[in-house]
Amino acid sequence: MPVVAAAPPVKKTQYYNFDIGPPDPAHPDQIQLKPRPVSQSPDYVDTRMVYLEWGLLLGGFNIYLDEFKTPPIFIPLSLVEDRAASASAGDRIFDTIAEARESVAAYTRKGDASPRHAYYRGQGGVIAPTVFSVATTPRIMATLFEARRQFAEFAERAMTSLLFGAVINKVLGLFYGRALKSFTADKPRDSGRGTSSVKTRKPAQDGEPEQTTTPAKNPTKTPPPPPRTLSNASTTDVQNLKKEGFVLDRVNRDGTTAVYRNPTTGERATITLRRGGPGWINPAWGRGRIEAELRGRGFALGRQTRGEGGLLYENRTTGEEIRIMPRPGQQFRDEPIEKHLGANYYRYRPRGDAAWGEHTTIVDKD
Amino acid sequence: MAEQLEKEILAILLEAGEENLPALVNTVGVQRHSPPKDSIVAEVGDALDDLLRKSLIELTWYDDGWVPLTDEEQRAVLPVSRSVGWDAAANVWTWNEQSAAGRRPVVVLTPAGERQIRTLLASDPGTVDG
Repeated sequence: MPVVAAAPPVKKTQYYNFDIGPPDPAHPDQIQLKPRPVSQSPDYVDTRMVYLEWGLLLGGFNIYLDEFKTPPIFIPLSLVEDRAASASAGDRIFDTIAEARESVAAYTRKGDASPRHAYYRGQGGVIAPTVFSVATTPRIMATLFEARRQFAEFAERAMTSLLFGAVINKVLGLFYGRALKSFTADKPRDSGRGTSSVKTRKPAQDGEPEQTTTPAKNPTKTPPPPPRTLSNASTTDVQNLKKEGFVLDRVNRDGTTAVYRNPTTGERATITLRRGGPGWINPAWGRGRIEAELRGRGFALGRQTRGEGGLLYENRTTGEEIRIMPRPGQQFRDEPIEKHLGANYYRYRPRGDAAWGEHTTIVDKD
Repeated sequence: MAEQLEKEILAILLEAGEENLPALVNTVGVQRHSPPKDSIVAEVGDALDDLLRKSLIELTWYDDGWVPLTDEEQRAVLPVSRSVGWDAAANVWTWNEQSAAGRRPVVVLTPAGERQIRTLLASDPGTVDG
């Protein structure tokens, strides 16, 4: 059976979507195909989004296309624009974002200053626009706005002016509270609340790609709360951070700092870690490297410690000692936090009868 | 005050289950931020006596294994003020070479001592993960 296609011929790296149209009485033996706007494709990112994860520290947001079975797609904020209307540079789907952007740039070079976007096929075969906005990805943007609204309801902090709202954990309490299921079903929802108001008009069926929206009130960009910095931190300090909602994000691989973050507010607390010497131990070294260096510098394994499973290295020539201890099973108040950040920590003293130096976290190496 | 120091000593010992005697004195001194030197030695000596009486600590040698000091050896090294001297250059208490032939006894936590200090620390207000 012949196929009638109104679209231009498909070239390499070009893709088009078609819908089967109503039968043409003049040609009852033919299937009528109508080009379908890319934004209505089942592969379009705005359609496929199931969950959205947003956090100030992410520098963007993650889009989940399923129930967390596959890794998310990260959308950096650089791809987001406060754009109420955007015209497509065409329904061509490019292989890369660079090609898609180039197609938009071609319009600009011709003097067309109207906001435009193009499409490309990205991670997981998902079709994405070059610009995320209420015009191009209304469900995603509405979910972001809704996240902010929900956050504002439970947080007393003045986060209401954040550009893309916030997070989530009280809302669903799932997945560590970091993901918000798309609350919109098949179409964007107008929440009818101030800045989260998003109204969209579906693209015309004739393939007209332009979409218009009633813009959300222009939100004001507000930087995340300034990071806190701590030093000489104790378990009590960290416990207080945890009461505020902070969680340990990481010990930096250079071994000098530990970062806690608050997934709700996006706030970050950086703890400068104690270093007890000796100076030649690089804080980025893992345990294996440290022990190898010790042996190379005249230290010998003296014995196991009496308790807690530690090892005592001694340099009989210099009198120096290093005690490598595993992380304790219990935390008590006012302990140096360095005892608890990695699988091991060490302490050094230049002579056997001196007090041990500072607790020093040994960076965990994979 | 004495009870607080005993708790402090047990907490120091909890980290590895042990500490040699002069290092224990120096550790208490460091943690107390420069109190009068001599008073530290006397106070630590009293606290150790009390902890030994309660069998919460033990004085041992390490010689490819842990060997408790005999009563006679214990009398030779205690009170601790007799066995340590101040090294002004190094700013630490050091073990007298003539005491116990220069061998440093190691103070170890007994099982009863470990139980006691864990209980005490866990009952501190605001304990993190007791």
